[in-house]
Amino acid sequence: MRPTEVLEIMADALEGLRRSEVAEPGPALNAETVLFGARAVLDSIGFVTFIAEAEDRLSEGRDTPIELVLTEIWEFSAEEPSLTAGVLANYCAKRLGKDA
Amino acid sequence: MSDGRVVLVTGSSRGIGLGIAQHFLQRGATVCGCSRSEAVETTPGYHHSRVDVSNEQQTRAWVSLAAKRFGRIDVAICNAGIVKPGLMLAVTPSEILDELVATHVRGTFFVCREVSKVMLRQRAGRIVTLSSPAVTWHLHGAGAYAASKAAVEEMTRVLARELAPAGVTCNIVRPGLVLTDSARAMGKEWEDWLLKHQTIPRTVTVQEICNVIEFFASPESSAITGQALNMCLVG
Repeated sequence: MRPTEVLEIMADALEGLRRSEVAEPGPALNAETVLFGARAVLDSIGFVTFIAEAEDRLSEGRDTPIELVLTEIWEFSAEEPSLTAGVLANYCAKRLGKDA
Repeated sequence: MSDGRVVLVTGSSRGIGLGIAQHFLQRGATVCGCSRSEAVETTPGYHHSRVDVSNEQQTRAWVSLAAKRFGRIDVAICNAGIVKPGLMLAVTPSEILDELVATHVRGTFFVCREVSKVMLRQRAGRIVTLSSPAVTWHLHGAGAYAASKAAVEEMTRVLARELAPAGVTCNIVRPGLVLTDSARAMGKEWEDWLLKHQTIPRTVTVQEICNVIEFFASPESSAITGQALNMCLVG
């Protein structure tokens, strides 16, 4: 799966959270959208819910569910505690490739 | 007749866990139980999995399967626990500490983490963890055991704060002395010592524990979260 495809899945997941009022309304998700950290579009509960939703959607059709391990995302460090959708999509694409 | 609830119980093949599973089955709930051993309960509506809750992958797969199969998880009861002979801390082997931490701390952590993801999305749920009055007694010989249970309690309280905005409550039951096989194996002297320290000096029945859990699992307790309820003891 390519990062752009992961981004589409993540965009759908975010819209789903907005429809169920877990996330505030806002612009459509793109690679620059901050998911966690300063200027994030999600609060802490929204972020966890988004990660769980993304795991489920990315696991569809796979024998082994994918687990998003935040500590594995090298760009997501304690020194720079913000996570963009693009960084997460790149990580997911690599992870899905590795686990395939 | 199903009451519609989907209930997860860890350590459900014997003792308190088996009693909890049977309690919810009698009320018509769908119960997903797990333990390291085979199922004992065979009532329709009971679904058993062999899971070591200290194993991250096994626990994750178990919770995920239950959520997918039944579409939701209404109640999760973290009961799986072990009792070890009480030794003074100075001579407690590291293997005993590791086992207690694995079952109580890692087990509760993994179950709560995975169940939280499900309950956050359904915007409802009840989590109940089983602890022990030993966390308040500073009991001789319970250094490792009480520390592992204290960790469970703190984890439950933090989770209660984190999940409260999503309508999920998390509470703790401290049952006092229950005469399970594990407790009997600890011997009469230990039993007498515990009873002497309880305010109500008698054993607690599994049904009494179930009654408390039932309250925490019910809509009537929706305003109560992060609490530890002592049985047979003034806290």
